[in-house]
Formats: sequence, C-alpha cells, structure tokens
Amino acid sequence: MPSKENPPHEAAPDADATLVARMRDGDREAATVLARRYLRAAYAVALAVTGNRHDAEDVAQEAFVTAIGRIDECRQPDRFAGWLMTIVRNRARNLRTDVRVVRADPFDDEAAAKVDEAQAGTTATADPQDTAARGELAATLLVALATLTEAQREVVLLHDLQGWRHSEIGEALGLSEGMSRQLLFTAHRKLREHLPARAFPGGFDG
Amino acid sequence: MDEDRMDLSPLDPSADGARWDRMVASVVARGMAARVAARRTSVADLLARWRRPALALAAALAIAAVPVLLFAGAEDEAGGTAGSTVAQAVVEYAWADTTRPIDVLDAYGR
Repeated sequence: MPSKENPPHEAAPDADATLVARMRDGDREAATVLARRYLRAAYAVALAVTGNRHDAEDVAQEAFVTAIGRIDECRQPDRFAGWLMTIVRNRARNLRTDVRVVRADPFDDEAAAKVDEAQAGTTATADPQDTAARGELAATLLVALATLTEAQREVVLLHDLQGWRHSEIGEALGLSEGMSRQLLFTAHRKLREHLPARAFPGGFDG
Repeated sequence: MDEDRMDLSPLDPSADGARWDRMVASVVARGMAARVAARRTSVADLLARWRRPALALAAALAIAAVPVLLFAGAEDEAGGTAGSTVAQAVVEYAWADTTRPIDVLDAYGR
C-alpha cells in the first residue's frame, strides 16, 4: 500500500525551513522530524538509480548524514527536499558507476535482484513463507521497474511508494507538475505490460 | 492521466517499523556528529584561509620596517638616541651586578 505518512510541507507541524533553521542550531529533534519526513523519499530516489534495495538504503542513509552534516550549505531551506534529492542522486550514481565495474546494471540483472531478495529474506523476522513471497514480489517489481527510464522510476517510486503528489515530486526533482504526470502515466503503462493486475489495487484494465 | 497507485509495499523499507526507527535514529545521530565535525573543520579552514594573508602582512611590515631601522641605526651612529641609551642602560643593569637601578632610572630621565 502506498503510505501517506508525513507528506512534505503539509502534514508535519513544522515547515522545512523552520526545521532546517532549528537543525542548524543543533536541534536533534528537528533533524529527526526531517529524517522521518524524507528518508524514505531519499530511499525511493536511490532505488530508482541503483535498482538494489540494500544499496538504496545505504545511499539514502549516507546522503542524509551528509545533508545534516552540511546543512549550512543548504541555501534554500524551504527547498530542503530538492537539495537532499540532489545529494542522493549524486551518491547513487557514483555507487552505480562503481558497481558496474564488478557487475552488470542491477536493473537489467534479474538474477541479481532475486539473490538480493533471497538475502533479504534471511534477515526478516516475519513468517518465512510470507517473507519469501514478499521477496519474490519485490524481485518481480524490480525487474519491471528496470524497463523504465531513471526519471520514470523516480516519479513512480515517489508517487506510488512514498505517496507524494505531483506538485511535491516536481519540486523535489526539479520537474514541472505536468512532466511528473506524464512520466507517471508512461511508467504505469509500461509496468502494466510486465506486472499482474493485482499490483494496481486502484484497478486498471490494461 | 492515470492516477492509480501501484502496490510497491514489498519495496518499502519502513514496513518493519522497529528497524526503520533504528535506521532513522542512526542517521540522525551520525548526521549530528558529522555536523559537529564539520563545524570544527570550518574553524580550522578559517584559520588556514587567514594564514596566508597574515604571513603576507607580516612580510610587508618587515620590508617596510627595514628603511626605518636603517634610518634609526644611522641616527645612532651619528649621535645616539634616547631609545638606544635607555636600552643600553637596561642591558647593563641586567648583566652587571654593579650597576645600580638608579642608573637605569637616570637613563630614562635623560
């Protein structure tokens, strides 16, 4: 299910600019609120680039650590999300370049994705069968996402996983709202060709 | 445009709430530590940035002082100055037990 936890700018009691200002004064609580608000979005963008959940988690975390450490360099605190996503993209692309030295593009490598999911299953605490099923689903999704462009993956992950609206996606990624809609439309159309209908609970008829 | 949302929950890292909370806490702790380190570094950078101008200023002052010192030296050779006499008396007082403090004071009074 897409989560709508803490969409940016509205649900949280504090605006990004206020939280950034507090963080600059060393307020750990402000940093925590921002991390809860944007860490998963950072993961979504990192996943769009790397195609690997573990790499995406690492990239998102390291990018956020960097963002907090260099918060004084954030010139437009009200656009913290966009600044953070730039850091995430750069780190993810650097990692992807490094990874390509030892293996193919992970988004093109179904086997790598399945190994990834199998490894994930060994660390989960839930029912092993359920975990395995989710791992398989995740692998299927990653393979389907591999058919998209990076921009399409970013939009579809921020929209469907993070639950952001197009205006929020556009602001964070430096796109127009219309472009975000177009990318999502094209992405969904491609994904329908590769995924079972149950992946679209809102319903679609192909 | 279609606004359906795909179910991407198998890719959601926050599905395991406890693990996600630990991840958030870890990120914040490391980020705040990095921030403290960055501030320390920026102070060191600031000092490093000022080192060159400070050295350049000192060198310029030293160069500018050369003609002044030469001029003072020439005056000394010509007839001596009050400053050099006082310095001479202080040095003599410091090195010789025989010189009385009053001589130094006399030198200042001259």
